[in-house]
Amino acid sequence: MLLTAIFVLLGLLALTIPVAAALFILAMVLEWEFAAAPLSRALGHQIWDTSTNFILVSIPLFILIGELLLRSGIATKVYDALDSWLSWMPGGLMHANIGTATMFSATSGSSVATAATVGTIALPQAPRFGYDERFFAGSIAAGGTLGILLPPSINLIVYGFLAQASIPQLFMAGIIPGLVLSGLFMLAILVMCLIKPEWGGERRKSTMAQRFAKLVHLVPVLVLFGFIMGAIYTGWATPTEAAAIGTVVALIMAFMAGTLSWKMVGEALEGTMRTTCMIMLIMIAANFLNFILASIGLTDSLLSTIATLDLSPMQTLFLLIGFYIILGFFIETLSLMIITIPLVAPLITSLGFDPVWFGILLIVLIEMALITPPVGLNLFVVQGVRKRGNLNEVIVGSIPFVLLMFVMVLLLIAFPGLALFLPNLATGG
Amino acid sequence: MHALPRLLDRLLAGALVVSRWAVYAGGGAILISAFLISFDILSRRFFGLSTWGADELSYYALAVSTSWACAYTLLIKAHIRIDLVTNRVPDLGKVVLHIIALLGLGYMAFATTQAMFHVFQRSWNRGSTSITTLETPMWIPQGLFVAGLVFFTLVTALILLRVLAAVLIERDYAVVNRITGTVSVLDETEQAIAEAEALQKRNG
Repeated sequence: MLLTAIFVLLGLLALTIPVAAALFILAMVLEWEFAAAPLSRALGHQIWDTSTNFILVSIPLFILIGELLLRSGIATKVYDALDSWLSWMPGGLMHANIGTATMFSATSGSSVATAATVGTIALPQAPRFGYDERFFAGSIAAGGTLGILLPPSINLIVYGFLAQASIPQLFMAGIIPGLVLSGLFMLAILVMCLIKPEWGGERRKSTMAQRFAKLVHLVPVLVLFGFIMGAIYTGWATPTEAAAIGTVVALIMAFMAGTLSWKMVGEALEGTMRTTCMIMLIMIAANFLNFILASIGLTDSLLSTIATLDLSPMQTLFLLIGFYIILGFFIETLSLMIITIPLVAPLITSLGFDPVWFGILLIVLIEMALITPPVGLNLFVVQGVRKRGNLNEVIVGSIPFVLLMFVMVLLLIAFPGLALFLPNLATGG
Repeated sequence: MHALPRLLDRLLAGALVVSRWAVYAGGGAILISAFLISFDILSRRFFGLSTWGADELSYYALAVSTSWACAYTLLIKAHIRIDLVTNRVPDLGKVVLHIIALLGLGYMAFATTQAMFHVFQRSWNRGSTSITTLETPMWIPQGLFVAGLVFFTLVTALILLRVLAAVLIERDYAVVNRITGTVSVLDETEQAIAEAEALQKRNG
């Protein structure tokens, strides 16, 4: 049964059937082949329940916040401010790359959008100030991946929904690992530029007065992020409610920045609906598949198969990590998550791991997939913005960051508290 | 002989216009939901009023805007396909894969439409309402949702017909790639980049 499922799915995907339809057809095939009673009668209600789930309303809202902020021109000012604060260090502007990516990922749900925005602002600076272009490009590609780890994150919402893990807790759990990873990136830039000063480029110092004058540019993003997370953390609002207020605040910020127009809002809505529909259609199919898998007992059969392998939970975990790293080379990341969660999430829980903790671990692995060739979306984005040299330079420049992400995975295994400290604090557990 | 492909082209162009307006309307509904939910939570927290159903309206907005956006997402080729083989097979193979992909999506569109239609029909016959303060007659959101799915199914069928016309009548594989096919990773990133650059220019 398990093998049938895997072969059917791989076959459907190899025929390049859209991911949503592949999951849906797999569910129908399994139901037809293995179900004792017809389950597809429940299909209509399953579809309606997924489509009208209040927690999923947060997906278009968070995407919309990101779209509005990206189009509001706030990113350029943030980069400028972080440049004045961080560029004195060895590695100069690369710290501003990571910093801007960190701040933007905290409000935008998309890695690609974050990389494209930071890339357009930052990349022209690399040749001007004599940076090593490979490393400089790598810092943008890697920085852009922080978007899915730091809340609010669409990937975390998707994970929480399919793995039935608490989304507020996942959001809390992403904060410390996101900041640690961002810190690791900056530390690596610092160390490498101390060893190889020629990678670093010209450093610029700003006076404290200039720095404080620019601090004001950081306020909008920090306020928005602080508000959303504060509201969720204190239980004042659910993620969807916080996203709704965040959307209104983002509109006001765009208005104050003088960039709000019908055209801008129209573009933001078009982009939002395109991404939302793509995600929702896959979610509808995945949730139906989830239901079929549980009903025909495939989930249990997977668990007992794994049990007969006689591996320790840690060995199984490392096996899974290896599996994600390999698949991550080839499969688009959101699809990779959605396809695997229905099977992997029950497995992880049965092994005694915390599903919230595993969600964060999974996201770091997904971040890695975003900057590993041949299918690494952020690499393509950065190369596309660069318009010089070739993709290999970006790939080479990203290697140090891929290694750091692996270190982050090990850190999370060694110190689960990195992810679980904040959620436990919030629930008083 | 070429009247049929031209007719289908016109229908597809019309479908794109309709679907784009549907996307703006759906996006607008999401934006309005944001305001309604904000208003709801503020009035609840600061004035102690009880909730009146902004959340319910917002998830109807999510469902209906999703079903109506499916056709647009298909027309601009934004439904994700795992595309490891298409670039490695000859043109005829690509066309066959595109047709299989459309049939797969078409099956999902049709089966979900059919299943949701039964749900809608039952709500209509029984006059079901939601068990909330709004007591929404369920056939309204479900009907709008099904209508979006019907539109999605029709557009999928239309694209499939156009592809078949290209293969059987025009014998032109290039047309097939224009109409359907996968958006390559390059196209996708190019779009993200073009948008980011346009913004840089506009916002200085």
